[in-house]
Amino acid sequence: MFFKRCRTLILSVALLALTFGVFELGTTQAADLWHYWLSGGEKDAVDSLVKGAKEAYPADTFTLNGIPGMTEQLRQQLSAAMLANKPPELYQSAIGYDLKSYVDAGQLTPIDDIWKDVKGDEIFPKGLRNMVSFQGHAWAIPLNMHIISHIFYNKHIFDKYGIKPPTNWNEYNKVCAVLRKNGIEPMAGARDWAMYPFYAPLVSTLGPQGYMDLGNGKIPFTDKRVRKAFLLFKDTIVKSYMKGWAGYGWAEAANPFFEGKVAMYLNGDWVVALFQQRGWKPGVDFDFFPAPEMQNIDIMQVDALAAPKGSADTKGMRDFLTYAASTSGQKAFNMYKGSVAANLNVDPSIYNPTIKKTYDRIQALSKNGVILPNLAFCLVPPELGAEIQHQTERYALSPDTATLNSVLNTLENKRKSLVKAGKFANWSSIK
Amino acid sequence: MRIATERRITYLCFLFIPVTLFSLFYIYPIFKTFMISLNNWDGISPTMSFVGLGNYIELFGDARFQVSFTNNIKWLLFYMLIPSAVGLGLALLLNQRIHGKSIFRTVFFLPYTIMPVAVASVWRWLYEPGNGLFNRVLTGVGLGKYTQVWLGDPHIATYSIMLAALWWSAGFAFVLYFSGLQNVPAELVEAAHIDGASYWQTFRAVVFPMLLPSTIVVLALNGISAMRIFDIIYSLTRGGPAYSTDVLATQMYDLSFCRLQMGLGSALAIILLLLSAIIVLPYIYYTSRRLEGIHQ
Repeated sequence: MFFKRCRTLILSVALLALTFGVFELGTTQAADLWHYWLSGGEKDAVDSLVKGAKEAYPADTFTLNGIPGMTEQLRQQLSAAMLANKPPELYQSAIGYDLKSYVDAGQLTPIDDIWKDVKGDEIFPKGLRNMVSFQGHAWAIPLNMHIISHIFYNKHIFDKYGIKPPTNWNEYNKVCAVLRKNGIEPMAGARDWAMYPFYAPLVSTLGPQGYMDLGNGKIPFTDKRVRKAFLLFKDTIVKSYMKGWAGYGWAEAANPFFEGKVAMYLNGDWVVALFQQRGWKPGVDFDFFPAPEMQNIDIMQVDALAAPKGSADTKGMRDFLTYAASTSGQKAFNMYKGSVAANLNVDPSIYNPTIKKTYDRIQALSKNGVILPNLAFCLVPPELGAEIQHQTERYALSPDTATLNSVLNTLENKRKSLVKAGKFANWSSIK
Repeated sequence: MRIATERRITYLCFLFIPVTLFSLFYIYPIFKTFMISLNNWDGISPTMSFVGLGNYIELFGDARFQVSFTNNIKWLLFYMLIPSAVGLGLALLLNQRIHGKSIFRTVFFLPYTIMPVAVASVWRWLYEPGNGLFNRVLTGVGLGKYTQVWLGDPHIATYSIMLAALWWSAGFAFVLYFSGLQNVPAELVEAAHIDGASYWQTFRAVVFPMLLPSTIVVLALNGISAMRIFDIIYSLTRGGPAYSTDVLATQMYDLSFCRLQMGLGSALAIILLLLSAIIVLPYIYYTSRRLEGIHQ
């Protein structure tokens, strides 16, 4: 009888051990990454990252789940997965408020140990760390740094008319006048993308600290300086937009630029990959200059990877993040993405001349300048960020006093309600 | 008595599965959406904060909501009138003795089989301001001054999307009307002609009244399409520029997933549901009565 009981007990324990062992074996070395890097160079970048991770961790299984669309489509699926308690191991995130929304909701896993292992405090710029590490924990691994305040220009046109890149708004308007006189539209623009060109006039008027204060909810949108920024935007960028700009998507807007009908394009430096796909050579066919009055300032957007709480596997996630933070991982990703690696130790020889120029600028600004986060997508709560995007476009389409009053009041009402709800964070600049 | 009880049990058994599924996948989500609409919630936090009807009050005072609502009404009028009329016109045209009827029938219906997202993708290129077909053709025939920023001008962007929707959806009304026309007795039409009625008089007094069932179905289904329109707008303009092409569904999506205001988005969903119900109820009433008539 005793023997029988012992046998049953041993068998039960063995069965349990086997069950958990199989479970462990089956799930501990896999990581699924949800992302929306699906177009051209972006897809190549994430494929290259995964390929490198598989080589670095051959026992692991890394899978990609590309979600067509943008942030909102990813959020939609991610929210459902989080509520069902079946999130992926990793997902594509922005830094700053986008990340904070999930941290505040208690949906992310802190990655302090990984951060420590990869020496995150040494390899990533300080300001960048502030946007991924807050509330006493590290929450994401930054992959790259995209600059969104550079004006790309057609070198052939600038050379032909002897135009030098403008350094202030007066010079900018003079350049535009020369271009128009010669039948060339000065600036390309696109639907949904009026906000980035607005940042330069905003920083010119408010200064870097004022820009940060606006992002932290400390300056009302009805402040005279914000109004002045909108008026400067109207008198410079909006005035220089090509005819019918709002009818183009951001990639379509590059067509008249390629055709030589438009001389400049202010957008994120992801357009470099598009230019190269069209056969343009960096430094030969196109180049960039910082937006007027932004010689010592850049505005940045960052792609990062975060780990939801409750994901099935932690080892696969840990391995992937460790690789993503390494120089190999950052190189694998940024070679195709057309961006500067967030890890400062990556050899800059991997960059094309344009990205190398951006890299050098970031290095210089880190010492003697300011690097600011994207106002709408990093600093302010998402509902205000989306509203800034729409209201900027609204004003660019109807730049009159009545519209401006309405735009400023709409934004201010939103800011007030968010201040009341205690939703603003207190970010510092990326330096 | 025993037979009646058995029959009742049989009915209950047959009804159990559909009623359960309907309750689980239709009634419960609506109830849940309504409950969320009474709260402030970002869609990812484990907790919500109760605000009562606050979200509804906020929406009704929101200028963007008013634009979306007005656009939905415009879409409703458009869908009720234009694709229905075009579909009827095409059906009448193909109801004549013409060659290649079956080819035309297929061609007219073909656009409706394409996914709206694909339709949007094609039309986005047609509408491209610089090299798009429309502006190219206008310039080519010497009407360059009439070229437009079809999707970028807030005053015309909604109508531009409607044109794309017309191309896509007219085939649906066409098929329904065409099948309706096959049920119109030829003797009645011939009798009208013998009595000296013109084509228009025959259509007005004989054919169109006989097409009433088809018309009701077309109007009702197009009405529902108008209230739930989302994909073609979202794919073409995402509700822009500057909210000008927003409808309730695109605003709902933006609030819920772009701005993480799930409570507000849910309130909008409930409003949309109620509006759709108002549109669809007369149709349900009509079809129920028809079924009762057939049954009797």
